[in-house]
Amino acid sequence: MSHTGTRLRRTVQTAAAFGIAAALLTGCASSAAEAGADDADSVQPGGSRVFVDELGREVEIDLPVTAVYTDYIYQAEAVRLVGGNDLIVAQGEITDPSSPLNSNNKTYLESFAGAVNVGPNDAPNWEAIVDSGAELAFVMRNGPYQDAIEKLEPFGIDVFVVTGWDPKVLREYIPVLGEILGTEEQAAEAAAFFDDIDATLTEGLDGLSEDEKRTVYYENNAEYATGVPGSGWHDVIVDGGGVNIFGDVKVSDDQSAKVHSYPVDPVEVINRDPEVIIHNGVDGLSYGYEVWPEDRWQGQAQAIADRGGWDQISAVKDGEVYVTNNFFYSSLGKKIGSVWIAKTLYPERFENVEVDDFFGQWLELQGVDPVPSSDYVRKIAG
Amino acid sequence: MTLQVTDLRVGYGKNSDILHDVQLTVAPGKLVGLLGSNGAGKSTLIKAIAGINKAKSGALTWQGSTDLTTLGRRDLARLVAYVPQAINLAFNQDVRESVLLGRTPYFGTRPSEEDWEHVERALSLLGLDELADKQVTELSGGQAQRVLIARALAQDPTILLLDEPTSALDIRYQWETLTLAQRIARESGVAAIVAIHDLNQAARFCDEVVFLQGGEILAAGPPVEVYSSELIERVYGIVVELSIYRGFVEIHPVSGDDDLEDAAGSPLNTQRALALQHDSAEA
Amino acid sequence: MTLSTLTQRSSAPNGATPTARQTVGRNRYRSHVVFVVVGLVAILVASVISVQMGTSGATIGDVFGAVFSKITGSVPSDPAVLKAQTIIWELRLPRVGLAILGGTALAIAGVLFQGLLRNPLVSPFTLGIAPAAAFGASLAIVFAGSGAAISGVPLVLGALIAGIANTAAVLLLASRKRLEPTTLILLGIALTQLFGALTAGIQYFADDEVLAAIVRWTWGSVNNSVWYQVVTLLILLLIALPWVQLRSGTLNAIAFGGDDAAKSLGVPVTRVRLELIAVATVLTAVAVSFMGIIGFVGLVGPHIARLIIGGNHRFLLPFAAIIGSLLLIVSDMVGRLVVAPAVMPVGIIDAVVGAPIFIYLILSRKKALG
Repeated sequence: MSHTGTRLRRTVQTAAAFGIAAALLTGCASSAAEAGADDADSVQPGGSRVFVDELGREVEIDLPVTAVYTDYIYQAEAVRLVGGNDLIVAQGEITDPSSPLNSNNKTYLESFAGAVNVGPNDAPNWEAIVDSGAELAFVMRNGPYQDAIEKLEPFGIDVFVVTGWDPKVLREYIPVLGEILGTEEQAAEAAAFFDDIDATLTEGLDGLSEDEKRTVYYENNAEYATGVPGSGWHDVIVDGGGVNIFGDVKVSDDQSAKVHSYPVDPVEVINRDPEVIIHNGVDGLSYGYEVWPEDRWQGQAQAIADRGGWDQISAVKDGEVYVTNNFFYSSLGKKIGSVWIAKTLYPERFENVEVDDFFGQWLELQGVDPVPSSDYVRKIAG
Repeated sequence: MTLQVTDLRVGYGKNSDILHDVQLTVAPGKLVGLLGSNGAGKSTLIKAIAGINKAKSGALTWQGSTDLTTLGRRDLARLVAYVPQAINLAFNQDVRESVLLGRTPYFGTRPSEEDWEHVERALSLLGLDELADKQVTELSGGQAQRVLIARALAQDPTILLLDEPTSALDIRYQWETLTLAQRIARESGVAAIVAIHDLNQAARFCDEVVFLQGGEILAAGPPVEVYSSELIERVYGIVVELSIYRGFVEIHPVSGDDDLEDAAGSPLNTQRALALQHDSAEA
Repeated sequence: MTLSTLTQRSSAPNGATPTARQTVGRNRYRSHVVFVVVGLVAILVASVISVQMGTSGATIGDVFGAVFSKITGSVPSDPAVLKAQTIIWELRLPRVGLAILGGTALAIAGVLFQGLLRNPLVSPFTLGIAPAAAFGASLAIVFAGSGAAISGVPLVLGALIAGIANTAAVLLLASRKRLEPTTLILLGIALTQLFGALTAGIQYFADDEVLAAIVRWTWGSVNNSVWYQVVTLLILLLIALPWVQLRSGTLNAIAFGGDDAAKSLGVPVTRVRLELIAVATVLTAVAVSFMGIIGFVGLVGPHIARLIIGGNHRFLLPFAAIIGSLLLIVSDMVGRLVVAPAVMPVGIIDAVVGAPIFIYLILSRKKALG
């Protein structure tokens, strides 16, 4: 395998050599374009600072930033978290409250109503971003960020890669976002909130031995689609002190959360006999701030328990099957989900911890009225 | 002014010659019929002369001096025209454009006035003026065959090759096509070769016939001289009687079979009778 | 010596007088030329509209201003004018340029493949270029990372090399059978399946980000067009168009005559087939590596052109190029209008725009297809 890998890599390197020719061919066109772009900047002397983004790119940003584009919901949430909501002038369609795609999330996204919808993050209308007057683009690493650089930099729009759904990245960049957007105060508050959660988890799980740890099988909004190491879905279980029954599956060497779901054999789930089952989602419903109809929750939970042979699983026998709404489960880079898992697995250890305290604070930081977490989680009836 | 085929060998691979040492002479103004059972090498010989298949060895000379095998494709195409069995209908085009294809060896991208004159002349020679703007898919089989011959004439050839031009036609168009081939040969001095199945038609229209078997020539000459019941039995494996009718040799199946009697009711429509007899001979 | 001596005995009563004959050649293609000229004007008009159209409006003055500024190297002092001109130069002209040239390349390739393989159901992708290019791009994404630019060197080269290598393999294998059309098509089907499976294999093992990037590449789109793509295609087409035009006569012989007839008409069939398949392959592979997979234009564009102007390749080639260009320009305009300010990929829209036109032509033209 590695053999082929090396050979393929070599092929790509050879190919890259050819690419230089192509680059030379077009040199004149692009260099002319850049020259024009420099002049397009209305530079304020001395007002710029270099920031390093998640990928190590040095981006010189003119301060203060007055208008930004966010490509996806996590980036928009991150900006809103640090108090930069009003600076968002252009957004991917996923955060536009008026888009029919987001009918379940209207209230939650209401504060983005002023920003122009530039289409899907995969294929945005670059011109609409330019036209919005954005000076800076916050994009995630698993999107077309190189195309964004190519298309937006001629207009003096800096591209800053920060992947809001990755909790490690999010925590690291909360203060940086504050500095860039000039909202250091709220950023500090958000960072403190994040650290508070970490501290709560660390304290509550302190001294928990491996034997005491409870096992969890997680399903990502589809039958038998679980999360394995390399995925945020795995991390949220581990953060909450649980053991992922598929935590031994190795797909990706790095810990960059690239694998979002992984199909498994249902028989293997029975063999590994989890103590708790979490199914994040209800078939046919999209997640959001709006609360799902009561009957759909139990239908989903019951369908899981009724799967052939699954009555042998401890979680089903003990009634430890949970259905969650991702709106709640994934908030703050899934940190709120971890708190909920910790409290669910070890109620006595987290007796004094209220999930709603954290969830409510998250919603407040997002500028939305707090709602109880119980609206977004159900345990199987019975 | 003759086409001379000398020691022609054609084949693919080492030991699989389709034609062995073929000798053939076709004089200008003559229509020569190629006869022989399926697989005897009729088409192969025609395609070799047309330059479609390359000869392994041997010579193809025109007028004693021009070696056809060394000519460039375009030059060869200005001398030799080939009429395929049926028109290709992968894409539609009108009759005039189809005939214009015959001028391919003469122009690059744009046909000249002279090219168009040849096309118009060929069209009117074959009585296609009225059909010139029709699409080839709208034509009957006989009309389509005439278009192919018109195309070959537009090519302004000195050698005309027809590869079983009558096999898909009914009796009327078979006659029409062969009459035309005969007339073209006689009146224009073209050396013409036609591969044909019907022995009576060959006798009626061809100045000379050539019997091929297993890639070799068994006999050649005017039909009256060459046709014999022994030869026909040897080539086709059927028993026939010969007679002379208005100066043309004619073959009849030996009677004794009612089916054959009926089928041979028309003195000229012998193809079916022969086919029937052939089938029963094989069975 | 030959036919000139053949007396006219057949029924040639009218229409064959010398004067009538002489005008045939000259008049015959007059309407064809008109179609081509009208088509070119339509492209020009569509381009101007397309360049003006967009989120931020622009006037004809801005369009000429942008071109003028680039040529003279001058920079407008008014920032608003500068922004408008930069939008036109950096975003709109490349996309319109890529639509025109990409449409041309695919339509020409379609005409060539259909004619050379004598099959109206053939498209530029029949020999497997599209799935091979998708495989090459997928491989490039695996190595260059899921954030790699669609217009960037790794993806473009990956797609280009795989697409061309695919056809080289098909030709090499088919050369054992003298490049017979049926053999070529069957080998194309085999490699299409193979590369489809290989790409699916990459997708199976890939993580979700790579998967998303592969899917993103597959959308045929001009949204990420950049100047070097326009320049590259322009250079290629400046070579390819006169070349194929010179071969239009031989292409006619192969497409309408068949292999044997074409050979007897002096056409070196195998050589021409090899040569023109190579041209069509380069055009297709470059277009696909720049735009992703745009299916409709290469298959149906030639047919629309054929139904309007007829099958003679001398006119079909340029006219199919015009139809291909128009299809992609108009589709891109529609794609920018329907969900504005978002953009729908042209690969989806072109079939939606083109299919009704095609259906109308099929039903309204008696002279339809063969």
